[in-house]
Amino acid sequence: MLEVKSLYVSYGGVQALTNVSVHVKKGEFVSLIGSNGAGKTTLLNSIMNIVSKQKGSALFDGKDVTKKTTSNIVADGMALVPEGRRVFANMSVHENLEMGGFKRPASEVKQKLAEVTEMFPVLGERASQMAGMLSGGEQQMLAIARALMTNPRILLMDEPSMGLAPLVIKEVYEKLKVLASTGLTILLVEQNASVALKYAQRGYVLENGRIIMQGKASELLGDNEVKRAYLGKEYKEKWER
Amino acid sequence: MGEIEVKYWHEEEERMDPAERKVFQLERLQTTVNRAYRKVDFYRRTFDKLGLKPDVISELADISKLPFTNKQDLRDNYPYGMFAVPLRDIVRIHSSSGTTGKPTVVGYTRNDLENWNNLVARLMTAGGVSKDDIVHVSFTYGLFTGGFGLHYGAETIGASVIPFSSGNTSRQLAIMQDYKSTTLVSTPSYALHIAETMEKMGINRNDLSLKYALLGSEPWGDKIREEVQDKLGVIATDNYGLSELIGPGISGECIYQKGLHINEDFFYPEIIDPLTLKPLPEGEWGELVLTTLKREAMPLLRYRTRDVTRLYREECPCGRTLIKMDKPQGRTDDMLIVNGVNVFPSQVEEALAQVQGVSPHYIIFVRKKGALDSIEIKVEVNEDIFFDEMKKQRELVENLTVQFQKILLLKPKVTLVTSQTLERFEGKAKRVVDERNS
Repeated sequence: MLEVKSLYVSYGGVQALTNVSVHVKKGEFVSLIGSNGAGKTTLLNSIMNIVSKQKGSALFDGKDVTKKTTSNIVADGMALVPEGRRVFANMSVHENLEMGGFKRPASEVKQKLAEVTEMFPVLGERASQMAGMLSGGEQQMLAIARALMTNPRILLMDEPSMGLAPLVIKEVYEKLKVLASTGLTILLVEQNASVALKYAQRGYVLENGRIIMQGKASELLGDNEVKRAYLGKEYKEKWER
Repeated sequence: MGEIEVKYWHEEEERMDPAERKVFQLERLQTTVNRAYRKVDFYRRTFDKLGLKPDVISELADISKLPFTNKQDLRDNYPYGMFAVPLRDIVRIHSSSGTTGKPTVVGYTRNDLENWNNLVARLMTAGGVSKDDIVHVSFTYGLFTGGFGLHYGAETIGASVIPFSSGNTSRQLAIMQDYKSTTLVSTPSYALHIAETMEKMGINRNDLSLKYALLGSEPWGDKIREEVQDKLGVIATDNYGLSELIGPGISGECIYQKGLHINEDFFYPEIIDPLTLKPLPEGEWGELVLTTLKREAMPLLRYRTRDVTRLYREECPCGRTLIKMDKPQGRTDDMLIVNGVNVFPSQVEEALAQVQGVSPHYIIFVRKKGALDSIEIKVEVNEDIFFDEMKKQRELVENLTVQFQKILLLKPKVTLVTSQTLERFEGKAKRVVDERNS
């Protein structure tokens, strides 16, 4: 469904992505992990054409989206939940959701609103509250729900665990799991490798703008290199080279 | 063969649309090159010397821009220089025998071992083996990859494994009889040896429960296959591997015996002209070059196998979409170049097999005739023909010439000699006399 091929992006004078290829099949849940500054956000932003590429392509259903405007990409069925939630703090939950459906006909917005509030009951309960008053977890749910208002076929998630307590992280990921089970395709980037790989089928490891590992999520979770670098399981042994 | 039930081990991967598999191949190739450059000093030095960047691969075809890896490179980096992970991440070490020069060492991480088991499970499943089978392994265990490779592949499937190892054939046969082994894992020549021993011991194929034989680790042809299948009552399939890359598990035949399916999602195959080192298109014969796509402990880029084969895609009745290779027809080390045409002694053998009344003993002479090369093939024939009329001799020579020309793509001079006149060799026979530089 989404095929990023040999993508190069330079961002603020720095080579942020070098020859990156990543793909997601319809219905798949794929996680890309990497540390701070590895280029994860740049990858999602370049797929959405928020930052522009130097070379390479990103095919969405066979068409190169790096040549389209962001709003056209959204209209084609791709939505991004940005890092740090970025809800409109001074608008109500309801208004935030309506903003998500900004380009959709009113009847569809109404139907989608009903759908997402069924999916996230807490948003229905707090429809009239200011989004800024919500807890971090609730804001993340709102950000996801807002993205769903555009009726996407693929959801790009930037660091959904950021700044959330472990239990809340689990709650957010459980929601993503439910969404995935309804057929939504998910590409997620995360520093939190253990949770991101636990819920995904496949994964990639991005380091200094390059893919250095990939495979089934279970394979990466069991890998010593991943354990040392991303799961905080460093240990010393006398056989170390 | 009766009714055939086709089984798969990794159905999704083995039957994947090749276009989709290419997406995986490119991603894995890019990752492998990134890792090799970052983690293996040998590759970093080689790339830097050539002024190559690891991002040189933006399409699969760009693989031709990468340098080759030779067996000598592994020897030069003996023992652990080619490893891309610290030793504490290595959980198994195998090695080649080292009869010619230093041995080569191969390391595996835990993920490598799991992948290896599954790749062997794929080819064993393709050869008919299931969890209900009793697999008798007659490969030598030890540093050689064959024994452990097939052993764990069979265990991964869930079959019952008998790790007999090699030697003591009459005892092997007794065990096979008593334990009702259904699958034999061995070299083709050992399978033949078992068949001969059966005859001596008066054991009939119906006294055994064998159904499948997975034969590998040396070249063999259809004649041996027919004999093994007939005498042991099995479906005999070939499998191919190289210890430098992983061991067995690179490719294997399915029960339809129509070429070896390469696990190309793990090993990217190319065919090159061994002289110009340029890649050759699908279907052409040349040297097989393999690049690992998923190996963690020891990524190898464009490893020159020295084995001569061809790659081709065709619809297989088993439904696998993996690219195929033919049984290797010799080694580039044995290759002759005559007027720019590649000639292998094995091709001469192939031609001889097509003609009645000749022995398999021959010698190829290559000479300079002015600017051009000429080739003469001396073939031993039955005495009788020399007493017969000249016409028969001439017919045989013509027949042989036609066969040679068809297979070698050039016309040799054919000379018949009486039997036992060509020199005999213990071990590796000398089949070629190249007089061009003398």
